Amino acid sequence: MSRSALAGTRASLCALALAFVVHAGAARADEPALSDDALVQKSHAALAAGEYGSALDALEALADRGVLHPGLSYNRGLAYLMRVRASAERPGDLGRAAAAFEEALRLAPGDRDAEKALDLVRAEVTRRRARKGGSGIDARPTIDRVIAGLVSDRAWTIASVVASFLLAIGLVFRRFERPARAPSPDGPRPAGDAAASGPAHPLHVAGTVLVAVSLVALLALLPIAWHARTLRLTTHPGVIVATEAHLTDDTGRTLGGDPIPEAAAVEVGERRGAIVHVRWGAAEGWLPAASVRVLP
Amino acid sequence: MRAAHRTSSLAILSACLFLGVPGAAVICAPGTAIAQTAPQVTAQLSESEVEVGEPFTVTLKALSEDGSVASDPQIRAPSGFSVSGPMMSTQSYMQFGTGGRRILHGIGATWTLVASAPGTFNIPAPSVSWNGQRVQATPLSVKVVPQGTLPRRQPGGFLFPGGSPFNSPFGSGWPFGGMDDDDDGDVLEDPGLTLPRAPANDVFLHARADKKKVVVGEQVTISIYRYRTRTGFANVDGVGRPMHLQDFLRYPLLDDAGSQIMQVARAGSKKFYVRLLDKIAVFPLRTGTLHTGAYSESYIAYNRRTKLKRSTQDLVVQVVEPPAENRPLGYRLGDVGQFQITSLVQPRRVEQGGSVAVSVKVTGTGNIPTSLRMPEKTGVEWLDPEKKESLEARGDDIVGHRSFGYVVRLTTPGTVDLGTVELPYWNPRARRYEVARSKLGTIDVLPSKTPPPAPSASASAAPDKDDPFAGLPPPRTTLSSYSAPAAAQLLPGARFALAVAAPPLLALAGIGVATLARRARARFAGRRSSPRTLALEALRDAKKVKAAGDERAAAAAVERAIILAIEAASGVKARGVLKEALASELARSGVAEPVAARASELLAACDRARFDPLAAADVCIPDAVALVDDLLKAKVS
Repeated sequence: MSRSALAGTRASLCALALAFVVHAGAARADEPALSDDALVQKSHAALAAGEYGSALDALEALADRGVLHPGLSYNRGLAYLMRVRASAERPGDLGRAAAAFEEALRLAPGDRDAEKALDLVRAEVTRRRARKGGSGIDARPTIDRVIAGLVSDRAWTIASVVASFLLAIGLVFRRFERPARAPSPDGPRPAGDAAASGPAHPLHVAGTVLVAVSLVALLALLPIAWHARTLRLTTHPGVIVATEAHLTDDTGRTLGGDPIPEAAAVEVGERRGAIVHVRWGAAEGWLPAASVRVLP
Repeated sequence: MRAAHRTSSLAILSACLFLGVPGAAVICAPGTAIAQTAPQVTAQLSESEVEVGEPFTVTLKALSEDGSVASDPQIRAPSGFSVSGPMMSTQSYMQFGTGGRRILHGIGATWTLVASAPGTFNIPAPSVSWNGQRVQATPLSVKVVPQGTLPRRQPGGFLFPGGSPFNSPFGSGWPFGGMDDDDDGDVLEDPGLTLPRAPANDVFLHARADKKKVVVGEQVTISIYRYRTRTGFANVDGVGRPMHLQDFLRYPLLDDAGSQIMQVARAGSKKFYVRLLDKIAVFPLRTGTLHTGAYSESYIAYNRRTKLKRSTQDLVVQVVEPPAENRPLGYRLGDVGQFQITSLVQPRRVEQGGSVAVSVKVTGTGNIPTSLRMPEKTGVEWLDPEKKESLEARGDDIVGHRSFGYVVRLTTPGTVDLGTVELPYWNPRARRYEVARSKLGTIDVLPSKTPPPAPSASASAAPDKDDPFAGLPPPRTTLSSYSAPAAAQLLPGARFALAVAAPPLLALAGIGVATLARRARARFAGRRSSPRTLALEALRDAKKVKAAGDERAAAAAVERAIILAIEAASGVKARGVLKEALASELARSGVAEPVAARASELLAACDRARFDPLAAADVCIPDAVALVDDLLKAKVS
């Protein structure tokens, strides 16, 4: 090796060592916990600078702390999409974005931006599945879920209680009897003689109708309200945040059937250790908890 | 001869030390001429006389001067013998003789045999394959006697079933005398290994974890000890079964596991010889109550009849998350230890679309992370890193480094700040979070003549037909006031059932109460207009007008009282009955004849008093009261 080459090598090694020394700041310090407001500001600044990694750290930390705001959820979805667009996508990013937009819509149902973003994410998932040769999967909910989901469980509860009150009012009204008539000079009339008692009291008629209608309504509303309340207490909405999710039984055996696509909305039930019970349309089974994001 | 033998022994010892080959021995048996080509094959029994069920070994050695490779050692045991093995070894021997020094190389094979019936058995000559043919040793003969016939033997080596394969003709254990486990002349008692009680009296295993509660990723050091008495067992049978440790990462801490110095400790009141069999560092992978599983070994008892199996306890470690308080951004569960980060970025100037190399090295102690969170941003593409690692045990700690070599593609021109790579971790010694950082610095990205299409960071960029998210609305930079909807359920629990059931039930209850009240009212009104009540009222009127001196009015009142009392007693309306027939009518209706007669008479008196004022005085009020009373009683009866 010539002397000049040796000198060059030495210089390179020195530069390498210097670079290590310079960048080995090895800054080792306690990290004070940022306040919620500081995290929000940090996420805004990071998003504006295109630093989606930092933005995601801040927004996920806010979500972990239970800070709920439709704007933050929306920004979190955008940050995940930024990562997708920056070719740094990680498996499940589209699902995580969809979960964030779903969350934003749950918090602010009229958010058109979130609706549009969610549509774009789901369309992209469908496009990717189609590109891979997968068919479009339409998961139809069962009739009980459809009915219970028509309105909120609060609405079903209120309707049931109202029906119950109407039934009570009808029962009371039915007690209003026919107006008494002057006794006949010919003595008492035989039983069953309609003319003897005169026309029925209007409240009695109203009560009779009310009892019949409200009883039917109560019998119909009560099980729906009960079911909707049970679903609300025992299940949560969730979104698949894995590229695909295959349902298994609780021992881990695959159930077969179509895999649940990324970003699909599911109903999440019981959790056992690292697996959760999931219902997708009429299909139900268990999934790794990490493949589902439960919405607040 | 004896002197020659001693000289030969010294020569053998010096040869072994010179060669440095453990277990080397010297074969100096006369008449074992070694052929130049074929290996010299010898076979040897560990015991010439054994008991039924007692393991013994057959050792075969195939040695040659030129190192000819022999292979495939075989033995055919007599029927009724069980055979396990062979256990293979390489052999090097130095032989001194009159012809000078010879060095032999070859293989050794050791089988373990167990006889099932007494008798004298010939074991056909074991053989090896050499150069396409089989070369045999000499046949062997073993005498098998019934169990319990032979005196107890000294135990063999731990790791060699049936005794050490390196038995020499100079006695068991030579030349490594003084290494027997039972030789505790210099062994000191270690109070740190004392146990409150011994799970077994002969031999047992004990596992110990240095921590019972840790966070995910924090090191737990597990030590496995074997406690044995002097006569605990003869041999270890096979290899120990390790702990499953399915929820842990494991790293060995001992290079020479199983050959640690033996110590003495007490378990209960008994003294045991204790050897550290293994020491491992484990890192829990998840939270929960995690089990390590048990380490187990099998032994052959001294009586050679039974096998002993011993296991350690299943250690339980409580694994929790490190505290959520003050948890730094980006902390990932499992990053526990003490780390430093260094980084190197080259080059610092690159054309748009070009790449730079970023090397990040994490050094430290503990569960060194297997991946890093790099400062990702738009315009900077981090490709998957190439990883290298060097981890070793230093004391009870796992120390070392992991290097991550990234190729970073820069798609945006200008001065690009790569940011700072951060590694937040939990320091279990300081019990706090710390963050290791290294600034990556800036890169000058020169504009390219043909710039690659860079993904837009915000929606303000022009829509790209290849970008499905080009039309996304921008991020929210200000947050409007928002109050989360009430999460509480309306009418929780039994209140819902109460709210639904209460209105109709209350209505029905009210209706029932109203009905009862109306019936009570009707009953009360009926009672007021009953003949009985009216009769008593008429009597009271009679008393009043009698007192006022109006005899006729009193008689009329008495008459009314009697008629009502008759009606109450018998249902007979006395006004519609002829006075003459009244008594018989009343008697027919069940009224006693005397009472009926008295009623008839008193009514007649009242009738007379209506027209004759003097006769009115004959109407006696007390008689009327008594009659009414009798009539009403008659009804009751």
